[in-house]
Amino acid sequence: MSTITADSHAHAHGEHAHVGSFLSTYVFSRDHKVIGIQFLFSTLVWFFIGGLLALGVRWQLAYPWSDMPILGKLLFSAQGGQIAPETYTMLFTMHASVMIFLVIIPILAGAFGNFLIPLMIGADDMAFPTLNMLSYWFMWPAFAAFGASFFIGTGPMSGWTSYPPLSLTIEAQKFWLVGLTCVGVSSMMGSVNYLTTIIQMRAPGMTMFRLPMTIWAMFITAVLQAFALPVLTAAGFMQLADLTLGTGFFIPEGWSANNTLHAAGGGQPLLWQHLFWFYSHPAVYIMILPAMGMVSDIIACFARKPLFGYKPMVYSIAGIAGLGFIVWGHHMFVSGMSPVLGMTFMVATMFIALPSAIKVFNWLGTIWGAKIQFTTPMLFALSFVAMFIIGGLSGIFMAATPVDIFIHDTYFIVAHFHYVLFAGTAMGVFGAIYFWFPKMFGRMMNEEWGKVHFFLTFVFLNCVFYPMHILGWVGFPRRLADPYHYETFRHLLALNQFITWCAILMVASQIIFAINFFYSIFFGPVAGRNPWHSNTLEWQAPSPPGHGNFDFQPVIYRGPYEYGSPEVDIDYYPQTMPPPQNRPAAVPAH
Amino acid sequence: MSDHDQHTEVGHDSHDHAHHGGNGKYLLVFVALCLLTTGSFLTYFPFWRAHVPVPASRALMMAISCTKAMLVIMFFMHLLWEANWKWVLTIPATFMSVFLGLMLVPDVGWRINNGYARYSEERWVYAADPHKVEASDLKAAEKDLQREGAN
Amino acid sequence: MSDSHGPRLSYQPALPIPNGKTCLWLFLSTEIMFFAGLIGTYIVLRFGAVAWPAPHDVLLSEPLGAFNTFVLICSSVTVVLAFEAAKMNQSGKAKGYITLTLLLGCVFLGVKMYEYSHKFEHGIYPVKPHGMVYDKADVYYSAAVRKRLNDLKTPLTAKGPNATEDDKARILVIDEVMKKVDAAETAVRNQPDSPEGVIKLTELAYEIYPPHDQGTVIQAAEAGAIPPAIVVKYAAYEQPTADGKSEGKGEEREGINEKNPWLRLPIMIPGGPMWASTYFLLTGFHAIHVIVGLIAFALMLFTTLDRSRATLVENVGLYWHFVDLVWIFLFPLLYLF
Repeated sequence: MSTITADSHAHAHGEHAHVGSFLSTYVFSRDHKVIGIQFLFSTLVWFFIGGLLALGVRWQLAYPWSDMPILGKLLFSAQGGQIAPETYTMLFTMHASVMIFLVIIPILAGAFGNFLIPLMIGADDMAFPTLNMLSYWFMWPAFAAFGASFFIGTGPMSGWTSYPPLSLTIEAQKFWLVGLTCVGVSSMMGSVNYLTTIIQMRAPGMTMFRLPMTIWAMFITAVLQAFALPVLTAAGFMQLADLTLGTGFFIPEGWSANNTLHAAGGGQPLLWQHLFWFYSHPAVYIMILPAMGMVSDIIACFARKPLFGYKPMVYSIAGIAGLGFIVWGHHMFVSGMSPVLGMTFMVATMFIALPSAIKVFNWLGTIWGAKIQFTTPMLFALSFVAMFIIGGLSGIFMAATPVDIFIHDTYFIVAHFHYVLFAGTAMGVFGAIYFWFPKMFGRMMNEEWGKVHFFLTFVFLNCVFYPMHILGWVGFPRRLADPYHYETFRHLLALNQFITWCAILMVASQIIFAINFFYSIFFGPVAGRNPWHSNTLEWQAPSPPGHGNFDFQPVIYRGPYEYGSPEVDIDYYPQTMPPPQNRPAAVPAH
Repeated sequence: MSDHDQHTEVGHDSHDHAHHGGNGKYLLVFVALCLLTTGSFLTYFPFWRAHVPVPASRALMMAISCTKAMLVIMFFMHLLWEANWKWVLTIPATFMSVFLGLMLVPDVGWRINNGYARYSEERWVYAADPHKVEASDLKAAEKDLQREGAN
Repeated sequence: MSDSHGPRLSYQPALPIPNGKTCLWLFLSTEIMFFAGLIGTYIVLRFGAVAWPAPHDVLLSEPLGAFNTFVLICSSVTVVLAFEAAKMNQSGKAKGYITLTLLLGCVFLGVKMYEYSHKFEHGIYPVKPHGMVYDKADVYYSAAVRKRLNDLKTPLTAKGPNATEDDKARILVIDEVMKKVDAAETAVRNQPDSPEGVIKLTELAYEIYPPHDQGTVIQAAEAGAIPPAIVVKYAAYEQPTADGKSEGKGEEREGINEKNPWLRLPIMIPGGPMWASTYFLLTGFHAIHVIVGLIAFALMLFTTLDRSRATLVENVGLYWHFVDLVWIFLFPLLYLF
């Protein structure tokens, strides 16, 4: 068998073979599984914080200028329990920043990417375990900076997009930017590591087109991060320099704030928007592609059918990623951007509907005529597909410049990206947690409570986010502490109160998940190696896998979606199972 | 199978030797780089400036820079002798970076002359006493200049 | 969790290069995007700027830049020679070349530091909220000049009878400049609609810090940064003649700031603040990359650079070539454009 064994890799083993202290095993671990679980726990904590911030926003919209129950006296005692307009601005800014930079991106790439990539491709660890550890520990300065920014002045309050010149007047923005840069460095370290691992460390026989969709999605996500993120890092440094050093990259001519002339002007606020969205539009695909990959695996597993159109799925992910790089301008239709660009970006954006539709139809093709096993992960995966259709279709509205000019900065936008990010990605992530939990902790989560969790979340999320389409279509503005100041919007108060109560119930129903999660870690029924009868490689390893992941040399004979193959008696056909005739395996070269 | 083993154990140095022999090539590239640098440095001299229009010398400098970059990438970074993976890495990066630059041009680069409005002129208006330069003023000044030159 | 270690795994053949090199090339492509963001920003801001200072206006020295380019090219050669030596298992030779690279890198940084300090001396650097460099001679500029003069004068006059001859001379200079500021501001105040005040302010600005390049004066006048009348006055500066010699009147070009280095009055360079922003950002990030490379070289000197370490030398070398590559583009863009 022809092999490649990297030097760095052999080194990693020598040290891992000895069982270290608690600190080196669980805290400063270089084992990708531990790092993945570290990412998972950190991001779940921030998920909780981000959810609370959202409830603050919702409270103000439902009961403007009324004392917030329980927390109000504690947090906003200066205003007598009310949310001040500045605080409201800070709340939605930090809700978005925390959810995007500290939850969704690290939970997908950091937690699941780390845990799954080596297991699913048959490697014993990442290519660079130390780099991997660093990529986790670079998140901590980001946690600290984002955490500290709450307490500087009124906190960062220029939206998660941090548009200058507004952002240049806010002290806390410095911390925010430092946090952003640290997330960027962490993601950059992670992405080059993932790419190297996926390219170089696949098990024998695991050609690129035998990779599970999860790995393909992680691979393309890593490419997106590697190419787009440095631009944001550069832009972040520029804005940080504008804030601290007195440069003028994003400072317009003759701009004065707080009675001080910042005449280092000559810069362009629009430049920030371009550079920011050059990263942040690909970032919205970074936030959904891995979930799409994981959902594909879950759907194929519980439909007990081969994934419909594997290669088109791969190409459409690549297509989404490629197009994702050239559409950033659709966030800027009303920014005063050159109309020449507006047209270009509109057309390019429309094209993204094609690969997205291919994916949706392939998922539908996969479950068509299948004997679906409605397990908890499958329920989440199916709801991902359904919700993604709603979120994707509303996206086409704002891709069209004329429509976007009307709905820009309304709740329609809020509805759209929550359908994609919460109803899509977060539901996909829940499904993935239920699905891979046995592999992570060696025990099963409770199915019945999982289903209760699913149904409550599913119903309430639609109650929360669907009415936002209606709000947006009426013109209800986002990012306004008191929209009811305008007579036009006063009749929408009741609808907002309904949304708020559903949001509170939705957050409350996550308690079921939390209890199920922590209870199952210790007391769940012990899972075997392959509780879901799945084909992919990680299920052939012990649950949980030990150091080095595999207690045998995995050799891959086929793609990951051979469910119901006539060649074997069982309805699944693991990638490592030799063909029945025992003929010597033909391992094709790349 | 056997050729894979060769790749893994001996790595690149086995085929490196097959392609380029010795350090003479590096010195040659070094000389070329120095000459090219001198080429772009020529534009510094007043003699050059008096005879070559600015856009032409800028184009020349960029061409020279690209040539130098290619020399460094091909020879010093050994991409000339690498397998096809080099294209996968370099072409997207080049494409993306050029595309990013191009997309910034209409909004930022052309803002003083974008065919719609010369909105950067606003930057001079913020003074307490904004001074509008009339085209006639400038023409008069130029005329004065020529007259003085004639004297 | 089983503590026993699994078997040493073998992998599907992939790229015929070590993992480290794969990772480094991927890292370099992220670096390409990083510098694409920075250089792209510079290009669009520079060509979108109404006025941009000529290299001499901001004390850039092209020969120094060219020298630094030469130094980096040399260091690229030495690092590739070190790689060849390491491949031949000649650790001593490889270390020699690495030392040479290290020295060349230090020379580069030294020149850079000299360039920086030279600009810092003249106040050309970004400061918050506003540095010494002003885009145009407007009332904000004259207010800044007045403030600086008052700040200088107050301690001098406070000395009273204890003032030395030197102090008295300084007070005289300050008063002389102050008179010009007064005259200009009076003109601005009394005839707000006439260009007279702005002309006076601009003349004062050019007396404090004269333009070093006539091209930028004309460009600034066309953009409206300075009144056209000023162009006439400074037309005589640096008229390139057919034989390429400069006819500039050297003695006239010494500004008030130059004559009295203790004054450090605010200066006017159209486009100067933006220039300082981009120049220090680009060269600063490049210098940080140089420093990282030098640290890597310094660490390498403590190891044996034999055949087994050839990959390490190659990887650090690739990084160093990339740093050279960035400078290849920065030099003409910053110094010669």
